[in-house]
Amino acid sequence: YDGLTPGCHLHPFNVTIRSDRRGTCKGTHLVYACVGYCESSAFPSRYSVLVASNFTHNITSASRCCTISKDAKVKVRLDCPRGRHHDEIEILTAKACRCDMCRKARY
Amino acid sequence: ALTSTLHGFRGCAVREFSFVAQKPGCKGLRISTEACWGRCHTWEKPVPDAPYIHRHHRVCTYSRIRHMTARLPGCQPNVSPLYHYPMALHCHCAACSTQDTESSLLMVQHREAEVMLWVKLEATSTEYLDGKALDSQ
Repeated sequence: YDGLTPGCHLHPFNVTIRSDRRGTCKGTHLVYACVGYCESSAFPSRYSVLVASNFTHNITSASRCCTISKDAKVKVRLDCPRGRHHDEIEILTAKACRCDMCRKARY
Repeated sequence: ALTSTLHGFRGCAVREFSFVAQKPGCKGLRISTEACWGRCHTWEKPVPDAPYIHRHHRVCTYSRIRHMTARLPGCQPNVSPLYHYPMALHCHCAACSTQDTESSLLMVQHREAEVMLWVKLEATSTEYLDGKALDSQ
C-alpha cells in the first residue's frame, strides 16, 4: 500500500479468528482491505434541489469513497490445543478496490 | 507546482466556488463563494462476523457555515429577488448526512484552468492513514 498516493488501494492486514471468547482454537490469515483517499466536494444546491427538498437540502455533496469492488472467500483453519483442528471458517478478502459511491457506515 | 499539490492533496479544505444562482421569474446571477473540496480517508475492511464488511466512509463537507443572501436582478414583481445560499467557513471529513445534504454521484470535474482559478486552500485538516491504527480497529 502506497500511503502517499491518493486513490483507493489494496491494504494487507492479518485477521485472527477465535472459536470462543477464550480463544481455545484460533487461526490467523492475511487478507486485504481497501483503503485510500477519494475525491469529494460539497457546494450550494441548485434551486431545483432546494424546491424538491422543501428548502432543507441547501448543500449538495458529490463524493466518492474507497470501496471493495471485487472480493473473494478464503478459508482460515483454526488450530486447537493438543493438535486438534477446528472447522475451517470462511472470510472475505478484497481483490480489487475502486473510488465509488459513499454509503452510510454499517457500524 | 500548485496543480501537482492538488493532485496529491489529502484532507478537506475550503475552496473557492463559483455558480449561477437562478430561480424562476428572475435573471441569473454569478456568485463566487467558498465551498468544500478534498480527499477524505475512507476504507472497507472484511470482518469475520456479520455484516462482514466494516465500512468507514467520510465525505468532505461544510462544518461551519455562514448563511448568505444575494439579490437577483430582473425579477418579476411577484417574485422575491432574494436568493439564500451557504458559504463554507470551515470544512471537514464527516459521515454523510441526509438532513441538509443532497448527494450526487456525479463528480465535479476540475479542469486544470479551473483548478488554477479556484486554488484557495486553507485549514487543511489532513488525515494520515496509519496502517496499524486500521489493524487495531
